[in-house]
Amino acid sequence: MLKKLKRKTAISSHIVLMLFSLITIFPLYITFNMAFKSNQEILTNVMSLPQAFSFETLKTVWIDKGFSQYFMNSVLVVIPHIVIILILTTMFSYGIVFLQIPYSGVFFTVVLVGFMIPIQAVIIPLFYTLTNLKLTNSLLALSIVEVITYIPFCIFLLRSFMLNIPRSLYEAAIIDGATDYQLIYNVILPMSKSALLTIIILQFKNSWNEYLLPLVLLVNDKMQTLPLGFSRLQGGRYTLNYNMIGAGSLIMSIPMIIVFLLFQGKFISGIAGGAIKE
Amino acid sequence: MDINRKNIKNFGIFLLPTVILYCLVMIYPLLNTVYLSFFKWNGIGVKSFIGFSNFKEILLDPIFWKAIENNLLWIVLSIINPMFIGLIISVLLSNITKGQKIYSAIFFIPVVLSLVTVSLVWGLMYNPIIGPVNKILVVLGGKSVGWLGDPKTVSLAIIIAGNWTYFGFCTVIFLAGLQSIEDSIIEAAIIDGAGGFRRFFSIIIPNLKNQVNLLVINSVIGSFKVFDIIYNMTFGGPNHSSEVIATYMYWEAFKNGRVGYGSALSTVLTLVVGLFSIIYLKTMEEKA
Repeated sequence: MLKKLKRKTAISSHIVLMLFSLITIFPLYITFNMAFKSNQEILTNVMSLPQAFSFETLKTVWIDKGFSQYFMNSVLVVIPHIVIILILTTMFSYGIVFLQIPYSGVFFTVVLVGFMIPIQAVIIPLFYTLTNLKLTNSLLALSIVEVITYIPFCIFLLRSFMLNIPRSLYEAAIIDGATDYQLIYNVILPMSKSALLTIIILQFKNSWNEYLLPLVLLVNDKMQTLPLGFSRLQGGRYTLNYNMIGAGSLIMSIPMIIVFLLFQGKFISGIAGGAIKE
Repeated sequence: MDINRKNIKNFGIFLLPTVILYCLVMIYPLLNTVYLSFFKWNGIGVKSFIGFSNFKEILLDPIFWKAIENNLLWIVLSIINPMFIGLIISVLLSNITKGQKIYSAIFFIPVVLSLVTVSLVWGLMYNPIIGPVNKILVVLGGKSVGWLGDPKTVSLAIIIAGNWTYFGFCTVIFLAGLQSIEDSIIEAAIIDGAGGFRRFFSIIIPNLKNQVNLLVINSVIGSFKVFDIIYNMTFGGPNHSSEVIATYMYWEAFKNGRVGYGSALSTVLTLVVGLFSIIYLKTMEEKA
């Protein structure tokens, strides 16, 4: 009966959904389009497809405007960030779930409090401390700061995952003489694959898009990440660099959109996971 | 090895690295922010202790109150617009069997984009020379509006861009909630003669109570923290009219050389966000 009702309303639902989809995509269509047009063509007709696809602007932005450098810097922040956060999250969660270390509940709660601390709460002293240590402009320092700002949720996620692994498994392996590291590597990690993948994807997104931390901590022009370099293209509120902004948007968004489409399910459940816990 | 030494060794290996970094990057700077908020300091020279003066100044600062007003506007509109649209879309999605995944992907793309990209994309949309928003308005018989340049429209314009990055999130949250409603309940309602409207208000809405709660609190927290999109679209201008606490704090601490005052602003922001985060965690706990 419900199926019959659904079939009846399906077509009208599709029409409305397509309309919403078009409205959603429209700003991206306009922007990405500009990457392949001349500014002259953009001024005469902003909505139409480019008359001749030109890759000149993309090339200019990538080479002359330093996007290749910004891209590399972003990669050099994102990769250490993911590696370090995976190691620390795994060690910490394993420690509090399996090792019965005294007061681990307290440590977990304290780390969870980080959930509530906005980055604005720490950014001012952090800037002066890192300046004193000569660590501003260090991409590695930036990735580690990012690790700590995002680790509360990762630990929260992996811990609840590990709590579902039967304790008898752990005990059997220990009796067989396995060390903690063997156990983590051979049993715990394979069993937590789904949670780890969620963390990787989520942190790729968070670190790739991070803005305020690099804005404050990376002062040197050569050290900027993509979002920073990109925002400099703007040149004032009423920009005239239309095609460059189009090209910059394309370079910034394509890696993100590809990863998103490849791991759509994980992505959505990971991001929604902060709000809905299953 | 006795149990105590083993515990200490395990603590040192598994927990300590995170705990140390956490104290260095979170706890120490957090306390330091509160400490700095009692000083007048330009970032280089001598700090002079001034007690609660920064906080007193905040209470009398018209830009602070403008920022609060904008934060509140962000809260209200990020609750109403994206949740309303998300609810409609999720109900439509639950009506169809084919293509659900593709539609969800499309609506979710703005969620994963960097807010800098979003700012520049919407900057182009509102652009007074080429912006499609005004072109469409004119075609529909309206008048061109100076969206980002006019203090009256600027916040609304930025919030709409922000909504664009958030309604897809609301959609998937609502959709998950809708899918957990048993088909049999809806079928029973149909047999009892309940029409579409009745089913919507008597079954669907009450069953989405948890999702509504979570999204409301999420919007509140997100609206207090909002920074990237405003900073990149208007720098809080024109003349502070789109300022929020986070952009004002950045301006005072990092551009205006008033580190103590900036710290006081950030202390206020932390207290507010912390308070709502506790409510958020409590709601999550109740759900679990």
